[in-house]
Amino acid sequence: MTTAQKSRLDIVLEPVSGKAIPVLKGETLRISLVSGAQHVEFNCFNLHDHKEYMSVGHMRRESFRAGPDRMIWSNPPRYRPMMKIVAMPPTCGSDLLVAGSVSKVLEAQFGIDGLPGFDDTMAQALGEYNLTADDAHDPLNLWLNTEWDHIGTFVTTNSGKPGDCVDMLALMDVLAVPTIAAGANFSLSGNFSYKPIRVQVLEADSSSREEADREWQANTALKTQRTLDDYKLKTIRTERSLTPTDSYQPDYVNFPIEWTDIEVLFSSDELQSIWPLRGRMGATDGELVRTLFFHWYTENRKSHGLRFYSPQQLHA
Amino acid sequence: MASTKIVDDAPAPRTAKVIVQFDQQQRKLLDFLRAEGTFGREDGEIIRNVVLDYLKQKKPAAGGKA
Repeated sequence: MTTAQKSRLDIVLEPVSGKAIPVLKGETLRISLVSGAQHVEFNCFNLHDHKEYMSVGHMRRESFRAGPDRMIWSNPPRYRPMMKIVAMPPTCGSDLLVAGSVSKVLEAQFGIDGLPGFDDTMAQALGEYNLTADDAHDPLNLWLNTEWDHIGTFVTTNSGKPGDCVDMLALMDVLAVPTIAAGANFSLSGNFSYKPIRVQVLEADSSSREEADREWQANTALKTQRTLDDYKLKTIRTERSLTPTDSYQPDYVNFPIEWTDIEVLFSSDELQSIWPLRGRMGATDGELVRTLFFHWYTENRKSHGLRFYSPQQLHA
Repeated sequence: MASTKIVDDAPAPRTAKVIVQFDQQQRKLLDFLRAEGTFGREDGEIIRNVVLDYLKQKKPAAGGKA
């Protein structure tokens, strides 16, 4: 993002609301805090195919938190970079663990049935594009400070400051949906009060277009990143009730598994050096030898692609 | 009286055969290593040499965190 980029959209969202906003490739979505700490719940769709949308679960494979230079990945089998986070201040806690706040939980916990949830707010924002509450997906949480222990996650004091802004560069045309998180007035997620947020779309310039092209090229070259053309079924069903298609034949990948017996000769001394691992790394000699082979391969040859940043950070 | 045959030569090292099962995708890794040429050409030879290299890397902590 460059300072020369101009806003083509500049709005303030009041609590408790959201907005579905088209952001075209090369444009930058900027979300800012106006008057202080406010948790923002964010959804993202491919503008031209709503069945492709942000997969927080796969973003979580990189880390429990998002941050600068991280991607908004789409759902497999596409698994493509939708946006790139290009700026995020340290005061913006980000979280990929906590599911959207739901009014049901708030009602059960506080006995008040008038509190909106993520499901309510997101559904209202999505309605402008004829998407329903069922299309809302797990949010990327911005300005949500979380920690975790042996039981699970918990929210801590929101450290957001007025003027904080998160910038996300669109790598494809997307429908970006920031919403003010519900329940912020009843939890530390908003320090027990709601605040507005500012949302801008910054126009693309040559620098942002170049970066979007570069990241797209670098992160969409895998054969297993399927496109709609690869789908056995391409039609989106409209009936709510599910019924089987009698003539359907699945076409599973790499099916069936075919095993080959491979004879491996060890000296008795070599085999004795392996035996202490039997039981812990394999129930039989064959399983043990295969396990040791794959430990070696993982540590010595396996690449760390799709944004796994280093072997040290990868729990193989 | 039965005669006793004395063998002067030291016995050859005994070998142990282990049958390892690889599926068709796993075998592609053997093809990659075969192309490298460092660990041998036959599947069994490659697996053996890789396992021994792994144990060497982990020595003396073989059996520790892997």
